[in-house]
Amino acid sequence: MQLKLRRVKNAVKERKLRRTPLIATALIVITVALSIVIVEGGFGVLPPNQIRELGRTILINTYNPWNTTLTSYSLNSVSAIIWDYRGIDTLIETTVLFASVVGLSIIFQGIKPKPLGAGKGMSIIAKTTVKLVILLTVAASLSIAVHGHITPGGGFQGGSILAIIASLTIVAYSIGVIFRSGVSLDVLLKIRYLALLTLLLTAITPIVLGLVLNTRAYVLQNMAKEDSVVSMPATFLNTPLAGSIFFFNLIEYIVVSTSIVFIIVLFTLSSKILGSKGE
Amino acid sequence: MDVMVFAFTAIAISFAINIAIAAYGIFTDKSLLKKLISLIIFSDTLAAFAVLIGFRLPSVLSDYPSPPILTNIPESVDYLEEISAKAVDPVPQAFIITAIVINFAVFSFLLGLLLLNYKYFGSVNVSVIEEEAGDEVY
Amino acid sequence: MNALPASILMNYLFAAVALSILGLTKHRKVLDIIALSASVTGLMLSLILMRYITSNGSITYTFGGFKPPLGVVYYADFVSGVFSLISSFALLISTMCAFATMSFATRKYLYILAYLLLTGVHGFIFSGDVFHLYVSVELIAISAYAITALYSNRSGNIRAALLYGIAGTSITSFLFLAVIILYGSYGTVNMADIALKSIFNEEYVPYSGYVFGDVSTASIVALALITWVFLFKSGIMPNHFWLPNVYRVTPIAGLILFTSSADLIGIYGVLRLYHVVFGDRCIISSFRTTMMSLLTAMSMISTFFSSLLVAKQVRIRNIVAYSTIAQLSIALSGVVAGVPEAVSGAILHVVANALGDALVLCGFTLHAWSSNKHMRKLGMVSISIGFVNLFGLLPIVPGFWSKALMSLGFLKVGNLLGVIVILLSTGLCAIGYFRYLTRIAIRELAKSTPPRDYSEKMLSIPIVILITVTIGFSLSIILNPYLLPIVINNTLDSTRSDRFIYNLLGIKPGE
Repeated sequence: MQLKLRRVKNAVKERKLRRTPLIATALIVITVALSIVIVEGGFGVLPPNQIRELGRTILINTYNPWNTTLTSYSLNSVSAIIWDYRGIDTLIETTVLFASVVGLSIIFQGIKPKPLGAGKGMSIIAKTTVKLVILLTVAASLSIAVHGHITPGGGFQGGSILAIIASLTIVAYSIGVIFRSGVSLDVLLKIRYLALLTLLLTAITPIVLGLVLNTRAYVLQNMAKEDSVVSMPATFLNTPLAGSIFFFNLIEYIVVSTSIVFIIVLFTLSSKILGSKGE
Repeated sequence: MDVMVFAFTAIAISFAINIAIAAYGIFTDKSLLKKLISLIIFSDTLAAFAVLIGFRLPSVLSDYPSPPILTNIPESVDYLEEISAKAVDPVPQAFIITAIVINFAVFSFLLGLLLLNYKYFGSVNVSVIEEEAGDEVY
Repeated sequence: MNALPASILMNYLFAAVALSILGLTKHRKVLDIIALSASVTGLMLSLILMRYITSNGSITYTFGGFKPPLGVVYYADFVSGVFSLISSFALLISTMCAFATMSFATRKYLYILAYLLLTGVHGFIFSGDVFHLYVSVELIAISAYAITALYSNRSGNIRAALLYGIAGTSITSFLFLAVIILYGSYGTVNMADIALKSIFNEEYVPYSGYVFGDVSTASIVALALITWVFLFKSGIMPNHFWLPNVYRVTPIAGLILFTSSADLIGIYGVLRLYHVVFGDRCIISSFRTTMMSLLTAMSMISTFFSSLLVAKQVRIRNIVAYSTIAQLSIALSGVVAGVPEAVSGAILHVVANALGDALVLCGFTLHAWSSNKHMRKLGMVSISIGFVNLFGLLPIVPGFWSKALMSLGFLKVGNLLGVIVILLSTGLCAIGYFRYLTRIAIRELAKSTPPRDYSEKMLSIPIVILITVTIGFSLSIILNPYLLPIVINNTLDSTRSDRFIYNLLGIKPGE
């Protein structure tokens, strides 16, 4: 074994000597090219006093009651881009997360949660603190997700904050606590897939409305356009709702938090199994 | 050359160098875990680079840019014009958040593969894995 | 009719989510039926799209109703129609193949991933937006890694998936860098907008305004980076290191998908990039010409060496892997040759290669696993037709017509070397193909034990479909002399950047 390793190492050294200068040269070329782009004003003069016209158009139209065909009634222009102006990108992005969850459930197929004993966890002080923090986290993450169209934040941000609860619980208590509270891998997956289905259904709601009203409508349409009157609710009880952006943020919150909790639980389980099998 | 322009150009070039260093780590390091770490550095550098692209310094209204978020419901078009004269570009920020979610998804999947790989081969070194797998994979 | 591209995408996305929900329940039959019917629906939609495009011209679809460059736009023309058709067809074949050869526990995952892959592929080929291109490439990539890792209890699969994953992710990150560069300097991510401003960089476009910086150096760097990404995705020779590893371990049903969708996006991307986004009148046209001659040289070298490697191989998966590299390299040299004959020949060649690989792989499985004599014979016939198609010197297979068209195009631009390389590669590959064929004809393959869920009758259905389509396709080319000119004309329309700009932005360049 020792001999084999040494041979491998020697082979590595030889190959490294041949390949490294080539890669280094290529990367230096890339760096120099990028630097030339920057210095020659490829991005304009840094830092610019103006922003690009596309960004300006979106900033002006993100909440613009005077131009109803281009606006999305969202005070947060980043959320407006993510779920309205470029909604299909985000749909595919959520699908990438979905593919990752499917892939992880494939490669950890064999791992089943064993009946784990009640882990001791940390001290009582830490446990109580964690309880408090969890309460705060739920409130904060929900407000970040639900207010994603008004203040900085959104579904992904809120969801990833909510998922902290899982890692906190695993560290302070034990992974058994998560399973005893009724959150199993299957439940997480079910919630996740159903939420994703809801997301897709929300995306095609305008089409259905268009069919009902017998007018033209677009996938992921939020507000009425020049050639289409279909519109999602812009306000709710006098608070801005930003139409589908609110719903998308809410659903994305569920999708992302369940995915991340799933991934955290899966990795915790798999590290236990790997640990018990390793030398 | 203005000091500000020089400083920003230097920052941008340092990002370019950082990209190259991270890419060097990805292509030459023999440890798959370190490759993955380099990859994460790489993608984060790209995100920071995109932030820099979308950054601006307003010259007239105030010294500092504001986030691309309206703080209250606009009552006239002037307010919108004022915001758009001092806010940073929202488009790269939207790109970044999309790219971050994608990278999170891809990296967690790759990490899972890496874990399983370690279980099968007992190492994360590319050469050792290749040596181990040499006769096993036809 | 305008919503066709979006409805194809949504069909696959909905199918993937529905299958994943059903996968958690115990409805086995429902799952298989939905998987099959969704792929049939997708194929139907692709056919309708193709029919519509050939009679009425291209389709533009705006998501959310925002006009480009403000929103994301989908654009379907003849070339994207062909790629959509071949990938949808491959999905149908792959679903049948999975149904026939895989255990339920495995194939339920393959279905989901295959649909996700097709979602990404359609997002890629219809995209009129470089950032959407990046997002779709990531979706394609992650589903391809997951399909490679499908048999997670085999170490070879995990190893190949990990190496593929790390290399692929680092390369697609460069695509993101290129997108940032393009946005930084053009101030837009819409392809038509970039195409317009790369010709007239003083042009004003509604919503995105004027260019922001000096576009020439930025375009050069972005073009080089994106080209590299696409070459990696199609496994052209210096970037091919992942491809044979992946092809050695991926399940057959996944491989059929790879050869006809995931690996073609590089060729499609180069076509779009060099003919539409940075057309021959663009500001960096001298750099573009240099890159195109470089790509021609690279693809020829790649063709030659991969054909040499095909001649050396004895195992079927290796033959398919290296032959895919060789055929895609030939297609790449056709795409960058710059005449419509060569480009349409390249597209036909990609289709012929996908059909040939699918025939060989399905036939091999049937031949190796079946105990029935007739079935083994059918498998043998399928392998032979597949290899003859890849070999492509007989007019009864589409492979002949694609090579003939490309040679015609090469002769038109006076590239004699291209013709010689095609012939040389044909000869070299033939050594590998026919050695394998004679080997299994004389001394039949040792019959390996099939898995429990294997059903040879089910597997013979996709093979019969494949044989019919392959022969029918070439017969229609022979019997209908107008078919090839139609293909060439439509390809010419798809590669014209002024038409692309007009269809997407409604601006006629130069007015």
